[in-house]
Amino acid sequence: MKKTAITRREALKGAAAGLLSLGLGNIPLPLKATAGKKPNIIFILSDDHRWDAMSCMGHPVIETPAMDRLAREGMLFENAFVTTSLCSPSRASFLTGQYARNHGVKNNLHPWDNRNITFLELVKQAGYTTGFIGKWHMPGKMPKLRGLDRFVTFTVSGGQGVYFNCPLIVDGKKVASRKTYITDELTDYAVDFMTENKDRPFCLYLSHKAVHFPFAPSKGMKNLYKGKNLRLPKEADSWVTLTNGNLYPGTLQKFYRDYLACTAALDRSIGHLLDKLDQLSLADNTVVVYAGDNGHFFGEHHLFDKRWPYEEAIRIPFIVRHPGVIKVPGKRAEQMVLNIDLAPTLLKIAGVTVPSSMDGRSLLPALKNSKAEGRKAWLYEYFRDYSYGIPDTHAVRTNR
Amino acid sequence: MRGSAGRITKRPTVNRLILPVSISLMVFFTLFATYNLSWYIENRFFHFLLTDGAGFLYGFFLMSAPLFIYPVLYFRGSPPLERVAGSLAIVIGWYVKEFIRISAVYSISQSLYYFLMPVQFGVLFTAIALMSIAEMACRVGAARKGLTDQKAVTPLPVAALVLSVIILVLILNRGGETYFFWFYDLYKFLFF
Repeated sequence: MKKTAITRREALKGAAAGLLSLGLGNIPLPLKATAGKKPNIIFILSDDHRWDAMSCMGHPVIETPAMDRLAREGMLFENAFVTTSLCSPSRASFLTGQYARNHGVKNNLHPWDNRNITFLELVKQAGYTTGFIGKWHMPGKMPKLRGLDRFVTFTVSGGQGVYFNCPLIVDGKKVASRKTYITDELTDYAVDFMTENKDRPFCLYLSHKAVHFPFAPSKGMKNLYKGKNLRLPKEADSWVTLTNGNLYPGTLQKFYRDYLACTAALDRSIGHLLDKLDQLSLADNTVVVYAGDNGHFFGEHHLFDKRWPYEEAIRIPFIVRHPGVIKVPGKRAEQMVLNIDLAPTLLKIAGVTVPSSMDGRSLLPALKNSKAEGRKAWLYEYFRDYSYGIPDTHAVRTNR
Repeated sequence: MRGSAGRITKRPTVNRLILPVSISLMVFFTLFATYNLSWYIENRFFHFLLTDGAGFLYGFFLMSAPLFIYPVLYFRGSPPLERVAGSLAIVIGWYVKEFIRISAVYSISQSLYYFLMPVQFGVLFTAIALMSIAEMACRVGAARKGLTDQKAVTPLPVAALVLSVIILVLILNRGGETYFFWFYDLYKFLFF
């Protein structure tokens, strides 16, 4: 019998903790781990989602019931960061567990190196069926990813994709969009993948276009936050946002409202996915991780966009639901965790040896014990990109 | 003395060209300074009044300056090339400011390429389109005053207007994304 990430003892402990929680008010009963079976893995990655744009983080306007549910049934890492706050390098770091200087995608110009090893390749070798669905968006040609059973992505708009009627590339073939809105479209492909592979262990990488600029909510959600006065930071400038006095189209309030409406649509799609897991009776044996690829400024420090090493840009939402392993669901972890930690964590969960080339560390100890010791400091790096006028940056974030 | 606009009196260079262009540049850079310095005002009402006001006027002036400068130069007797150069003074001033900012991070050639960015390139063709409109409008005004016999609509301003509009539509297509990725791909081809 192959080694599983969850032992019988851990499962019993989880159940006991759940029973205990009945007497502790609102702490929910944990999902049951299914002993003896490799856990399925679903990693959901969003684009530019700020760490605080969730109701479970106390945002005053947006409501994110699905993300809240994940946090309630799993563990929310309150101090999660990216080592480079830019889409392509951060995405490559999630996949490889490496810093940008090591995986080579230093910015939106340096191409992906097909020699890079992804966690998807390694879990495939361990018997998983693997799927990459959504935004690839790394410089260079379409990648030759090893170990992928399904690859759904898009290349329009420089790989950014478009919110409406986005043409897709499914396993190398161009395919017209089935659904109008990209978030719903990608979620449908994810649900199809889960359904098709419900009887064998699978690892799904679902990477959304949302909530990247230009923030375009779906038709039904366009006016979700109309008239809401979002409390922008005191230094926020509604007219001039991007750089040193260059006009930028639209006002910051409108941008932020649309951004939140896109995030709400994303949350709805996550809810749909979680419901589908329940319907397929897979929830008890599926690890779900939700994270953003970097944050976003909405006027803080007079800035818009990301890239600069300020908290709003480097800090991300990061939630893990791992039935049975997380002893007290709903617990929040304070350790500093990084995007490079994802790959080693998922490999550990899948029972795969973590390659020494990975820079990150597994979060399993923290998932098992929210008080487990975390890192004291880490390196942030940003490599000059064109044409944003932001210089190379290296910074150290300490555990203040 | 008659300028190229027909019976319009050509004034001395200072009065005809230097003064209006200098005043325009002063207004433009005053708005820029006001916008940037207003962050130091602690009173939030005045802070935002100045920031939003100056920021809006700054952008508006940058995009529409030829509509104001061109007629002044026209009716002061500036010849066509002078009218074009004077009307572009604000855009050129902004380009210089941007070049100084961007060249702190990129090489000279990359900093020059930067002006093919959608906004930077678009501002130039907006100015050309507005100059074409201003030229034709000035001819109508001058003809009414009996200062010119020239037809309002002639091939050159019409061609400049049509070409500018086509380029602006290309730049703005799909919210500017299409053009931006052309710009970005060419950058990678040239510099990377």
